[in-house]
Amino acid sequence: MDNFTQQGEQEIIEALGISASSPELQAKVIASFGKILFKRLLLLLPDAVAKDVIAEITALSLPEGMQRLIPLLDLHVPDAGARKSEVLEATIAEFRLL
Amino acid sequence: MRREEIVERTEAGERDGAPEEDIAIAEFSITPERGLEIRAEEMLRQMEIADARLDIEGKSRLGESWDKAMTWGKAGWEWAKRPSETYAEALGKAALFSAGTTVFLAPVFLYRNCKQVYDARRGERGQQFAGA
Repeated sequence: MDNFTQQGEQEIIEALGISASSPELQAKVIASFGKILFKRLLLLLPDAVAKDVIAEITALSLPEGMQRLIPLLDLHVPDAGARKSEVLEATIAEFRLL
Repeated sequence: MRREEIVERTEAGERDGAPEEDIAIAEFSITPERGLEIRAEEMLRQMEIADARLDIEGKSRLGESWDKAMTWGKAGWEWAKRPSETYAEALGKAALFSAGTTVFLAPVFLYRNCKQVYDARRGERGQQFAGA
C-alpha cells in the first residue's frame, strides 16, 4: 500500500475512532466508507447531470475520469467545496465511535 | 469459571449452558480491545445498511446509470490503493481525494505521491549509472 493511501486512510480511521482495532477490520471499514462517500458525492449532482457524468466518466480511464469528475461537481453543485466537506463530516459523524 | 474463560466464551458466542451469573460477569469482562472490535463490527454493519439504502436511492433516481457508476467507482477505489507510477496518476489520486476527503489534504497527497515517483525514478537513474 502506498503512502498516499496510508495517509488518507489514517485520517479517516482516526476520525472514526477505530485506530486501535485490527488492521483487517480497519481495511473493511475504509472500503465501506469510501463506497458510501463516493455514492453520496455522486448523488449531490442533479439527476440529469449525474447521468451525463456517469456516461462520460465511465468512458474515460480512471485517472482522467477522476480529474473530470471533480470539476463537474464544482460546476454543478452550488457551493461544492462546502457541500463536499459537509458530506465527509456528516458521514464521519454518522458512524464515528463515541 | 475463570475470568479469562468467561471472556473467551462470551467472545466466541458460546453462552449456552453458562449460568446466568457467569453471563452477567462476562458482559462486564470483555476486554477493551475486544469491546472496540465489537463496536467497529457494528459500525461496519451500519455502513452496509447505509450503502444498501444509497443503492436503492441511486437506482430509483438514476436507473441503470447507477450500476455503471458503481462498477466504475469500485475500480476507482482499487486504483487509488495501488502505488502511483506516473505524476499524472499521482495528480489523479490527489483530485480523487480532494472530493473524498477535505480539500486541504489534496496537496499533501500530491506531494507524497510525486515524491514517491521522484524517489523511484532517482533510484532507477542511480542503478543505470551504477551499471554503466
